[in-house]
Formats: sequence, C-alpha cells, structure tokens
Amino acid sequence: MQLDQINLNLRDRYPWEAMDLGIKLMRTMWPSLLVPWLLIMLPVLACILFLQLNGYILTGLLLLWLCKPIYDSLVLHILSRGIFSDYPGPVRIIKGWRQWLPTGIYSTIFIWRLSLARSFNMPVHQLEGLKGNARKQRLRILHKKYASHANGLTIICLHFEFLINLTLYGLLFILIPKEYAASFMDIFTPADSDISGIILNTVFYWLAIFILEPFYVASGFTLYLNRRTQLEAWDIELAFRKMAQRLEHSKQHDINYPDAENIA
Amino acid sequence: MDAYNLDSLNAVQTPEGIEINLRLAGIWPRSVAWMIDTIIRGVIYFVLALVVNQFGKFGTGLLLISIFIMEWFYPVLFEVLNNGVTPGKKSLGLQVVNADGTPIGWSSSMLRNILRTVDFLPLFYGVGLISMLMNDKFQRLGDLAADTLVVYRQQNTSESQIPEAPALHLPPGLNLKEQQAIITFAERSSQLSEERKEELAGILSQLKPAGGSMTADELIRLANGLAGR
Repeated sequence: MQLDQINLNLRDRYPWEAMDLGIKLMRTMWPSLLVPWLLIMLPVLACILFLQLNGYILTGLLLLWLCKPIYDSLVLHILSRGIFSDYPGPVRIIKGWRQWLPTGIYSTIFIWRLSLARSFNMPVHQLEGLKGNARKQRLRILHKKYASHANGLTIICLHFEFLINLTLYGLLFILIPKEYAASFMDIFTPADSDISGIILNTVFYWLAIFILEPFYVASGFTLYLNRRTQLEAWDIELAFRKMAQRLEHSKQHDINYPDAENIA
Repeated sequence: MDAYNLDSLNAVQTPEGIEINLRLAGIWPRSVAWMIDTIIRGVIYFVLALVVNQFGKFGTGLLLISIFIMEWFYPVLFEVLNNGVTPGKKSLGLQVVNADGTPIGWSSSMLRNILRTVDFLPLFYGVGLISMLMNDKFQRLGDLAADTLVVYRQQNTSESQIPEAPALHLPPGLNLKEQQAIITFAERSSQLSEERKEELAGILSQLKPAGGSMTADELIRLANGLAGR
C-alpha cells in the first residue's frame, strides 16, 4: 500500500465525521462506479422479477436481500482502488471477478451477515485477507472504540432504506390521478393477487438498495480507514516521511540536534 | 481524476484574516439528531395530551395549538437562543451556523426550518435525503436557501495531552506543518504500540546528524520543547 498516493486527507477524525467522509468519497466515485454497479444490479433485478413472475414472490425478495454482501463487495473493490486513483473499468472487473467476489461466500452471506457492523467489518476479510482467529482478533481491536458507531450506521441505513421506499411510494401517489388510487394505502398495500403491486414493491426496494448501498459501504470503509489511521498513525507517518524527504533534499545540514540546549 | 486530498472541511476566512476550518456534518449524525429531537417532542405531546385531557374540547384545541407552535418553533427557538444547538444536535456535538461560521439569526433559522416542509416531500425527507447526498457541503434545501451549515462543534482538546518530559530544543529549519506533526505524534503516542512509536520516530533519524536513530522518547521531548515547557 502506497500511503502517499491516497486520495483522502488522513487525520484523526470523530467516528461520525469519518462516516460523513464516506458520503463525500462516494460522491466523487459515483461516475466510475455507475457502470459496474448497473452491470451487477440490473441482472439481479431481472432475475428477481423473473422469479416473482413465476410465483416465487417471497423467495425473490429474500434473495435480493440475502445477496447484498455480494453487491457490497463489488462496491468495496472499486472504492479500495479508487482511493489510490485506480479506477477499474467494467471489463477489468468482470475479468478479475476473483479479486472481488468474496472467497468465503458461505460465511459472507449467512454468518457475517448477522453482525450489525457489516460494512465496517468487510474490509478486514476482503482487503486484509484475514480469516478465522486472526480475523476475530483484528475485529476485536477495531471494534474497541468504534463498535457503537459501526452498528449505528447499519441501523440508520436500515431505516433509510425503508424511508426511501416510502418516499418513492409517496412520489408515485402524488403523480398518479385520483381515479387510479383514492388513498395512499391503496398503492402501498396492494391486494395479494395484484402482481403489478408486488413488482412495484420489488422495484422500489431494489432502487433503495441501488441508491443507498454504495453510501453505506463507503461510510463503513472510511470508518475502518479512520480506525486504522488512529491505531497506526498513518497521518503522522505520512507527515514524517514528507519531512524526512524535504530534509534529505535541503542543502542545509547544519542542524545541531545533539548539542541542543536542554531547557528543562 | 487526479490525486487530491478529499476531506469534509469547509475553509472560512474571518474579517481578521484568520482561516477557520468548519468540520461539516453529514447525513448520518444529522438524521440521528433529528430523531432525538422528534422523540423529545413526541414525549412532550404525550404528557401534554394527558394533562389537557381534563378540559374536554377546549383541551384538544389547546393541544393542537401547542403542537403547531412546537413543530414550527422548537428548532428555531433552540437554534437562535442556544447558539445553533437543539437538544438532539447537542447529544451528537452538532451546531447550525451561517455559511461564514457566524451564529445563526432569526431570519435564516426561520427560513431553514420552514423549508423543512419542502425537504420532507414526497414523504419522510425524500428530497432532503437526495439533496444532502448530492450537495458538496451536506446541505438540504432549507440549508441552501438560508445559506447555513451544520458543523461539528470544536473539539475538546483537553483529552489529548503531550506527555510531560524534559524539553529539548528543536533544530531550526522545520516549518509549521512539520512542527505540528511532531506535536501530534506526542499527543497520540499513548494510543500507539511501542513498536509503532519507535518505527515512526525512526523515520526522522535525519534530525540527528550525529548518527543513530531517533527514539520516540526524544521526539516527545522535542514536542515538549515546542510546547514551550
């Protein structure tokens, strides 16, 4: 890892502040993420809709929710390269699928999913490549001060996902004429036999994931980076290396350190 | 895109020519602060409803009027009279300020809180959410109209102290940033492992022309010298 190539201003931040940086990071990465993100999310939507049209309504929704760690690992893959100004294109991402598709896919989807600090934990496995006990120990250190914030992020995102859903329904309700839906509840809770209502629900849920998940992953990632910065003083290392480099280049080597007067 | 230093700071220059970095607060802490404020109002309404229940229809009217007043003026009163801090914001260390860092006044506070209705559209802050994710300074539409920012209040520096040690004079020729780096090292040295401290100090061995490698203790003594002890 080349610390001096990093695009983030490393400093010791508040945990909340570190998460906010994730939003800003995602904003700058959005153009390079969009195509790969659509490439994975559109086929997923197509599969789920196909399942639902064939009668597997709940299975479809469950799959969409269950596979979230897989979409997330793509986002993290692009982010972790993007902060070093390396933006992998769609071709490179598809060819190098082994690099980002999680190796322990069973644990990723079923076990680690249960942790509320998921986006904070993800880099430990995916970027550091730690497994088993080593991973557990690492997480213990990382979680020491940050567990509540990492959990909070997931809980907030859970609410946001639901609110985006509600907002999309609200938008639809404002836009359609009264003849089709007399009250908000008519479109929000369609009859069980009404397949169009179910598809609408799936598409809105998919849209919420599509909008929110990159920000969730990015914020967890910047929180993780902040914790590492704190533990390993990356920002200080960077400043010291710059200083050493400058001293090397400067001609004035008349620094009289050992003879400095002791004023204590 | 070139390499650059991404940060959530907003530099503001005061009339005296001093530059202050406002640390912008984004959607995560702000939504939690909003939630806390909403819960506080909810509890107040509940208690109020229990009390005015005794007065029949007159009580209902009273309750509705007080809900109206609370919904519109709760944030405004706190923001103007309490230096931009509502109870929810206080619990997360947030503060509302004008874009130039000055305390918020009546007109801008009214504006940003009345425009909550727009941010709330179509339902539950859909517009505000999109606006805050897309804006460079995490502003929702109300913030944009009133030209206000939500920032973190200044850090309490007392928690990070330079460890006491006999001071050493710093060699000349180091600029401000480099001196600050040495002080930061000393302040945070208690959180670092021993090996990491020595590794970091070793980078600066050039500060000792006589040879030998710099130790963490010497750096901390230098920081003491810088701090004027």
